Amino acid sequence: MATTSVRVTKRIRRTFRWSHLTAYLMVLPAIAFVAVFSYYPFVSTIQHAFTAWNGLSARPTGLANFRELAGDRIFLTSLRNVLIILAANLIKTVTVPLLVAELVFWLKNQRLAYLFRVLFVVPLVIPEVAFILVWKHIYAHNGFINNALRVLGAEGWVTNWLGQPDTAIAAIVFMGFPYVMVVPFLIYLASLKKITPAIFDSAQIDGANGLTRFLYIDLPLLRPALITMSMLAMISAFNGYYSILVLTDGGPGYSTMVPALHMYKTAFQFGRMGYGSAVATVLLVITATLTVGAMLLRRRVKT
Amino acid sequence: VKPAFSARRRRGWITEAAKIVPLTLLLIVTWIPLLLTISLSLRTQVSISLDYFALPWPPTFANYAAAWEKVGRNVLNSMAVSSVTAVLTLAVASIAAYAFARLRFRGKGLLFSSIITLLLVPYVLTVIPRFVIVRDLGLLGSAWVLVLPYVALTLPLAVFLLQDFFRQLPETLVEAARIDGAGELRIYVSVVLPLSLPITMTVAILNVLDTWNHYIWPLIVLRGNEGLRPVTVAIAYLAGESVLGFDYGLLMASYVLSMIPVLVLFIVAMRSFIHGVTGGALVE
Repeated sequence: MATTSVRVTKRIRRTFRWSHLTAYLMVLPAIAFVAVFSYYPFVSTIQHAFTAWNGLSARPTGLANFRELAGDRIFLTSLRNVLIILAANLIKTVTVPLLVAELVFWLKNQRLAYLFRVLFVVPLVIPEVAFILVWKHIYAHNGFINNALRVLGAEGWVTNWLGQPDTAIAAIVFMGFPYVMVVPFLIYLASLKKITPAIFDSAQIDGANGLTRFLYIDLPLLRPALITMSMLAMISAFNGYYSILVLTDGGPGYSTMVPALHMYKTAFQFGRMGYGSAVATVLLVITATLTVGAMLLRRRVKT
Repeated sequence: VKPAFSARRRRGWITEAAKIVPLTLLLIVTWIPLLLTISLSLRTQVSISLDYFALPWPPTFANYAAAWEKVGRNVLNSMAVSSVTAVLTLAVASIAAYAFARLRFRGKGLLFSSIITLLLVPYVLTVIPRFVIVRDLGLLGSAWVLVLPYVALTLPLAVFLLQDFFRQLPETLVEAARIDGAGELRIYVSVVLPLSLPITMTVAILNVLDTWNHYIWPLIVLRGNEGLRPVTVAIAYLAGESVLGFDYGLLMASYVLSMIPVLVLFIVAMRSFIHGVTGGALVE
């Protein structure tokens, strides 16, 4: 009896050694930060989706928020818009950055390749707001596009690009042309560099030209990177409202509204934090589904 | 032999040109907004309204003086907030990452994934309770209302990148120090930290690029508190003010001011940035 208890205390002492305590103390600050500012808000968002909440007191209302959401015309318009933006984002992510990565990778002149890489990456330093504001100017009444149209003698085309429902959403999608997105570009380039040169050599011996090599070697080997970038593009499309807040504020009317902006406005302009939380919860569920789906797909592609 | 050689060389030159030409075109179009911004910022309002496409010659720097009056203070605000955030994030993340990478303790896997999973949770969606909690903690009105949530939001990536680096350090280095009788903290401070300077730099840059961009959060928590506004919010307000909104030169100069500190940082540390994005952990 006595010997077992000694053995048990010994084992406890072995599990909780001094170094264990040190380890816990080392991770404690990080855990505390994410607990307070990330996990608590996450749980709280879902909890309050089932309440009427003004930030001070919450009254449980069951599924009322979600029922209202199903008939909320602004929300339904915003879903249509987000699907347009999502499709555009996906296409942008897997085309131009991939093309640029391929062209830079296959340049023979290494100094030129380095120069192109640097010059394509530098625009990253433009703060997102400044970038969006510049585009807002490009679309403005006296901005770049309208002035260019006047110079080219196409006065008839001059219009208020962001001020009309039918051109506003197109203008939002067009923003950022020609879409050499920096992070996807760098990731694709890095993935190409990881491919063993022997594979390319044997392809060349087999007589593969540029296009067949791209289709049968580069593309399959880049698939994991393409899926990861697509997943990130989808998530950011669903949750982004930064650019729309600055460009159109969801207008004219609510023609360019997206769900996340709807969440922001109901919560912070109309004080309906419970309803805003319900919008957020729907978006969280959609995002989680997309993420898990993409991860499963990625695992299947990799093996 | 000679003609065949030159034919091959010419073909090589053509395929090279077939890459350079489209790359150059894409590069020019990509840079148009940036060049337009710089060009307009160097011109007077009168000159812009007379001929929008004229070159900024001779350049005027009056817009920059005026823009600094308007947003200079906000540029300094952003610099202060981003630097404090970067230092605090690195301190918290580095020590936690070391424990996750090199020490053994119960619940390690769970605690680690509880931090890393947050990389996939879009934080814009949990903004409502986050506002309520900073309000209840009494942070509204101080710069901590920006710094503390930024630290939490940027921690997962920092922990992820740093622990990946620490894991790859050769065990023999640590073992040697341990034999000399150094404790875990001592090993961390005197052996591991000096070695991790490059990766620390990378994480710091990614961190600043991230926090410099925040716009919606300061918009929410700094209402009626103009003194603390970061430059992102300041330039958006400037663009929204109806009279100034038409002074394109001034606006563009303020946009340029908002990017200069990041540009300087980027020039200093571009290599380590590109390496950080493409050097392993993220590409997997």
